[in-house]
Amino acid sequence: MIFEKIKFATEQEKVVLIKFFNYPILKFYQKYEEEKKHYNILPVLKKNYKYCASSNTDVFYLKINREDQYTYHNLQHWINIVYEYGGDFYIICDNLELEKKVYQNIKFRNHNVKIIKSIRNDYLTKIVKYIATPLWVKATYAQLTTFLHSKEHNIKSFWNIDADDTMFCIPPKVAAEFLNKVKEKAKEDNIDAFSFDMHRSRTNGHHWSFGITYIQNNLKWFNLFEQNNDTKWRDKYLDLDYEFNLDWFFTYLKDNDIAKCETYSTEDMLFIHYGDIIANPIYAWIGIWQNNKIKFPILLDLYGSKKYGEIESYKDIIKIRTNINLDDCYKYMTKYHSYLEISSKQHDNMWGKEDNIDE
Amino acid sequence: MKLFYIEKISLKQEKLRNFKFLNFTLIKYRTNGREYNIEYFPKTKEIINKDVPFFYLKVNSYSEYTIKALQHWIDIINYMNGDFIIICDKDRLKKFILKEVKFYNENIKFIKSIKKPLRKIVKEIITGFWAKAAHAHLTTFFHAQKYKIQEFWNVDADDTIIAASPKEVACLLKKVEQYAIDNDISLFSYDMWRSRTRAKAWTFGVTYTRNNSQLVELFKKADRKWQKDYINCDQALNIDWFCTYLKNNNLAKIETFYFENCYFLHMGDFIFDPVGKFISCFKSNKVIFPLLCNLYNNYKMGEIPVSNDCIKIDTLKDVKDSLNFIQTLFVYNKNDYPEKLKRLWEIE
Repeated sequence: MIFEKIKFATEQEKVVLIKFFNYPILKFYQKYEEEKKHYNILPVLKKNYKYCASSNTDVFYLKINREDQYTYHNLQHWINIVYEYGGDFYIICDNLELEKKVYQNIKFRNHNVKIIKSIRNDYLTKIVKYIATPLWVKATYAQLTTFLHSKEHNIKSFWNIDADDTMFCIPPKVAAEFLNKVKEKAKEDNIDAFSFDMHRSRTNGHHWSFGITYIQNNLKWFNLFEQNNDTKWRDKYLDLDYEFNLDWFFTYLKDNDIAKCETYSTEDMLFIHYGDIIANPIYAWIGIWQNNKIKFPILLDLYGSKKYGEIESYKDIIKIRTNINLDDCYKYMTKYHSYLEISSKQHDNMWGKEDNIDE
Repeated sequence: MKLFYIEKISLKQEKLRNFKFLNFTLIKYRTNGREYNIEYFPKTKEIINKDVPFFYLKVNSYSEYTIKALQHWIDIINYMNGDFIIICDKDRLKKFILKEVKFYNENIKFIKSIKKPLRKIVKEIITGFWAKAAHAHLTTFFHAQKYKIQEFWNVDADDTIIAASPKEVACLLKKVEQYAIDNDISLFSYDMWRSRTRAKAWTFGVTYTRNNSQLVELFKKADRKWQKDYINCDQALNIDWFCTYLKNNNLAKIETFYFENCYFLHMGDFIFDPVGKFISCFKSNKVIFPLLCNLYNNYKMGEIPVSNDCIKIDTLKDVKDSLNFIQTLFVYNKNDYPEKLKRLWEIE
């Protein structure tokens, strides 16, 4: 579409965004309590076009791709976390339909919303060619976009988040505190890429993966990417996978001490990696971090598999100390991430009374 | 609709490709991987077999589990030597199903919901957002009436799974049919909501239907007055609530059944909507919802008594077999993992 008009509402104002070939050229907004309309020409180029006006310069790249109900739920949680963190964010989304639905479904605090597409240029294509196998090409462009965009915008450090399918079951403020501690640890120990333990323990240390990752741009990442002129780096891992991606390339960088890539987790934490948790419970799961172990209730309690349902936290995982409490995680999940405590006519009349679920 | 297109169909033993102009098949190509055969202007005739157990399989959701659930129903029907029609209003979903589900023969029948002729009836029955679903439901009754099918199964085939082997489920469903015949029950439905709502609601889902002409007459006679006792029960009223009204007023014999030691899956977002989407199992006069118990630690909602009026049809030998079935049906079957991934995930 040449011109497109997108309407959305934030907590403070009604917004109309005019796009020309998907690039925002004009924005009108009107605060709820005011009559006066404001406008910005080429809003993204405006100084202080930041979601949070604080001095915290960390940027969150929120990558989304899946079009599912949980996408909006998870993304909303991440947007709230970014606000509590005092950061700024870019949503990376290559699906125009999904982008439109994000405007409809997400409640932003203000109108400084930036949604960008993956960068696909010759420069990245040369890099992707030696990193990803066909299955992972799209995802690798999206991943590398976070590196290239941050480099071009002189961003010193950033969060690279799979925002459509990951959820810390804790209030946004607590999650923001946790991520701040992760950032501090990364800075203290000069960690280049510091990622949440989504797969490291499960793969018994075979694999390092992205997901919720703090990246420091002290390292010249693109020098490393450019120097990689073949796929020989995969040789050591050919026994372990059929398809290769940026996660595997970082596993290689870590294993060969080329970059300091580490993994963090915490105790008494509930985390959800959304997807088909019944059909594919190794890949999509609810995980509980407790006593140096990770429990997967679907595998443990439903399928009765102690072997796969309770695993040791891998030895090189860095534990971040927090005050997060597992009971609070359960309460948070029940209250905010399920319908269980949302009162409705159906709920009240059909099963609420007998089950006393609000007690 | 495209002028020219290729329809891809998967059968258990072979693959078909229909080269179509509008809805007319010009060329039929079939192959079993070794040999192939080409027919020009093939004669295709859809046959409705009324003398065998007949199923209306309603599908609407477009998800990975749609195929798993529908495939299971197709396998069950095969064991019952039955026949089926798939009710699907989405062309894209129809294409997806034809490509992904493995059918046993070419007698695959799709219909769309009947719209205009049923509009007046739907208006008298439902409130709010239930119009589409009501059209799909009523289509089963009115289509059966047209083709003189008096007994049939009405199944939400895209999101329901009775977790036992197709052969076992076929056996259980035959027992349901026999019970319904012996007791002259007109609508006999699996307990998806009866116990949960403490017998306030009767619902469709997996329903055996008899005395169809009688039911059709009741639908035709419906007028909105029936809603007055139910209007405060739910956000909106649907055909399930109308049947609850028929049951409560003894206008038709409508009952609910269940199987003990057998898991049942109502697929969807188990985390966000753990009451609406569930895994359940009937054990010792209780319905157990393991995700509510184990994940949300909510035993009040996770373990509820079976409603007094629900009829136990049979008990499976061992509940573990049912659980194993879920595992083999889905990806979490260690034999399904490719060798390299077994090494990566350390699956033995």
